[in-house]
Amino acid sequence: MIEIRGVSKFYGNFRALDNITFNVEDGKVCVLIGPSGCGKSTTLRLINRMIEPSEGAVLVNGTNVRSVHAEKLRRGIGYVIQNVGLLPHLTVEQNVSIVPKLLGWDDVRMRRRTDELLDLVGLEPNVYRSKRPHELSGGEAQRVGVARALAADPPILLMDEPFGAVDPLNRETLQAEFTSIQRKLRKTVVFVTHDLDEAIRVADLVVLMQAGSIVQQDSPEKLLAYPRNRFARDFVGSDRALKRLSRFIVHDYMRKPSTLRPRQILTEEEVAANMKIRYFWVVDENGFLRGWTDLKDAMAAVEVRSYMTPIKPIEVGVHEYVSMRDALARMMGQGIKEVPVLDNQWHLVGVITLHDVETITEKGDFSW
Amino acid sequence: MVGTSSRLKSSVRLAIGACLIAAGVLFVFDHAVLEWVLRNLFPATTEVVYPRATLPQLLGTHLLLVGVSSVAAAVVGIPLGIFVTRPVGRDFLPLVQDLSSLAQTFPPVAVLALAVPALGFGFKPAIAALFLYSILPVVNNTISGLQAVAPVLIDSSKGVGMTPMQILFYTELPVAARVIAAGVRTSVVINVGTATIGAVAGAGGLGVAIVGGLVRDNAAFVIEGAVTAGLLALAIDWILSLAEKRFYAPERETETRR
Repeated sequence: MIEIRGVSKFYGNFRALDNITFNVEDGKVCVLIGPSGCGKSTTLRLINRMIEPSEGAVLVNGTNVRSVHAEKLRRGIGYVIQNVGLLPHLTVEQNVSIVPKLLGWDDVRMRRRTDELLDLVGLEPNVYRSKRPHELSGGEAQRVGVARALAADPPILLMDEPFGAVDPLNRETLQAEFTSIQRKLRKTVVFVTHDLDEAIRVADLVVLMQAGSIVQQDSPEKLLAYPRNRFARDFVGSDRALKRLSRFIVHDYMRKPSTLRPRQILTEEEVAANMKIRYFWVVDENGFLRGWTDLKDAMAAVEVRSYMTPIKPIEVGVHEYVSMRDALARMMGQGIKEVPVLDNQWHLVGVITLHDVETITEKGDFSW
Repeated sequence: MVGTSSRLKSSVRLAIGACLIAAGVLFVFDHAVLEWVLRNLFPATTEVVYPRATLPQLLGTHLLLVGVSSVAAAVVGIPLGIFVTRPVGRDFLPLVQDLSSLAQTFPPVAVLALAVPALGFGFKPAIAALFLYSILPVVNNTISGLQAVAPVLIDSSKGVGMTPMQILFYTELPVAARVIAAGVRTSVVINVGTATIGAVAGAGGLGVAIVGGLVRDNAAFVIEGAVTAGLLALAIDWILSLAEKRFYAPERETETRR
């Protein structure tokens, strides 16, 4: 557990932090959010002693961090920053191994751990191991940054606007991957962002800050439903119902897709029998999405691929760990009522329909 | 395509370089070639090769002068540059920058003239003059190389739990290595030329032939010393720039395309 107890920070006469108090439970994600200059990064950096408090104390598992040697403390806390900070003269593997190396791991163990982590963040080890940072895209570099932070398996992860420098589409994927990794690893995470949607979707606890003070700390649901004052209300905005959809992960609501194979041949009876299903997704033998077809286009006695509409899965589909809001955005953007759901390897694993989104918004716990 | 053409170009460059080096080596080390070249250049002169010492001897002393002074400049200059970019030494940064530029503003001949009474004739005053004259590029490049390391790299190195020493050796120096090496190269190349004035203080080196030629109004001697010094400077510059390429370069992506 991380406890921030009555922390203030002064720079000369300027009060950067004013009596900050909050706790982060083990395995939970706490998001610090607020306009720039509100002190959210400063607060994050208290935890690994990159900044020392002027007043108050920071406790990790009951121990005041000031009683722990700063370097030793930091090696036990994963740290991801916006500009990644990969060392440009080292390979991906060497970058990921930095903390294990500082901790004195042997080469075999480091190599095995690197491969494991690259796999976890969705980078093929054989392809990426010996690349240098300048050969990576922004999203890939950010993934390596996450792998580096996780290298020594620290129980705590500090992430300072980790997806801030990535384009929106990549950010959606990275957020989805973060959600899936966090579900697996259950780290105690403190996450800084200025993007409310990002906060809503990843947080268990949202700490809203303004000018060095905490305005409100609540679950995302509570923050959206009951913003405490004018500032919080303005910050949350008027499209709260839409934002609330960010809380729901597609993986938890997707259903089995109706699929056909590209070389499949339907009989007259099958075409007739399937009239009530609107869309069929066409999936090849390897599970990759190839296209879709509407039953009114379906023809008996010819291969499905001759009349299907080919699609690019990346443009139409959504990752299984994106939010329902992302899925809804995709439906609106593509003008479709059903989006295919894909896993890390771009296999079709399910579908989400507009009806599923409606079901969530109609549920009792959604109203306030 | 880009790769092959640049590889082709670099192999052509390598071949030209090898030919030049072979010609230079023959000129310096084969007395007959040296005499033949100078004889053809100065048919009217009776004595075309400096007689008091052989060219390899002069070259050897010259290299010793350059080597000792450059190593001293690097050994003092790099740690000095590191020191003034640390929190403890930051106060000395302007002082060190001013002093090293002052040292380069001083004409080496003047330093020599001042050093001879103190250190006597010979090797020592020449080394002192060369050392002072060449320390500026080393110090300056070390400082600017280290200052150019992106703050985010230092922040993330600190964040993963590196000590200040580890940040210096694992992050700052490797990232700045190329700039620092370029400073050392500049200082060595400057020294090759400047070391010729060592002859004035009796330090030996290629300057002996040049000064001897000037005194006796023998242009062939001057050419013998000057051309050799020029070739030496080119060769050292080339070799050191090859060595520099081994270090990390921030703009490596664009570099391969050249």
